[in-house]
Amino acid sequence: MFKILILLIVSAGVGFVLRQNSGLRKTLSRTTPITIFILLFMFGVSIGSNDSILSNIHKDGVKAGAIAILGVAGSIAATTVCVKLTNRKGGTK
Amino acid sequence: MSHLLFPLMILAGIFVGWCGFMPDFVAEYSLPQLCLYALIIQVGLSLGMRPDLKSIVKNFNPRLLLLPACTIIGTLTFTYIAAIIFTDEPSADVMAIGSGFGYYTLSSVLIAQFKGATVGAEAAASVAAIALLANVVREMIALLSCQYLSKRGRGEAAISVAGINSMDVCLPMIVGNGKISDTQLISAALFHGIILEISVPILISIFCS
Repeated sequence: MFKILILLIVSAGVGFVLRQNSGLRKTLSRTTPITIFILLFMFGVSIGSNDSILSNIHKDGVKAGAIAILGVAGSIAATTVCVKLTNRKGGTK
Repeated sequence: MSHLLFPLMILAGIFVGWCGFMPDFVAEYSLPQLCLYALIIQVGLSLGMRPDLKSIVKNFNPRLLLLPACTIIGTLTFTYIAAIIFTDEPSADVMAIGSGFGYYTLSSVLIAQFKGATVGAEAAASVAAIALLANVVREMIALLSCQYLSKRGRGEAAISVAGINSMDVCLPMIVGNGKISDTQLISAALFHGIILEISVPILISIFCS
């Protein structure tokens, strides 16, 4: 966890220092999708070569749909409560 | 364009894996790990190089933190319901899946890597596959509902539903429709996306550890 977090923070700091470097920005816009392509391809291979994932895809699809819908519902519920609370607080001032 | 190619790369990988052609470099631990580090560095550099980052930091208002906090707390609380329903999946795995906030590329590969180190590549790929599907569905729901919510004056809810996508693909659908000013919405959406982008690897590593 810390390795990932430190990498993210340090690289964001380096990015901020080098923010005027348009060459690096251009390079990043090309290399980032390529890195994601490689990772997604390798991830796809590990899914395709795993028979249990392919045979359970309908079951996993239902789980994924439920998790996504509940996540969205939770976001809307928490935001609605927060907006109502902050508006009420603002109104009583 | 790259958004169309991402699913194609996964499908190409699935096809190659299904055909039984498993290149050695995929089985090896080092290459996917190195690619993941390279991706994190590139995500960090892009974050730091954002031309609007300075103005977002300069105009920082502590109230802006409420929105990403609501998204994280709301998503994780309701995702826990899914963890109770699906008893065959460990609750920490379900929470890790929910922690993607629509960032299907990074969340699925992070889960595959983090869990791969502890439970093995096969079990990790299974959880990561659900994470991929769940976060693709979340992005689709966001693309379909953001404009509707924003038009009804619920710009904050639209940003929250968009998750990580509030700062890129969903931004045009969030602004220009609601009662809240566009300037306020744009800075809230960008700040929300940046905070979630940082929180995705942190939350996933916590739930996968």
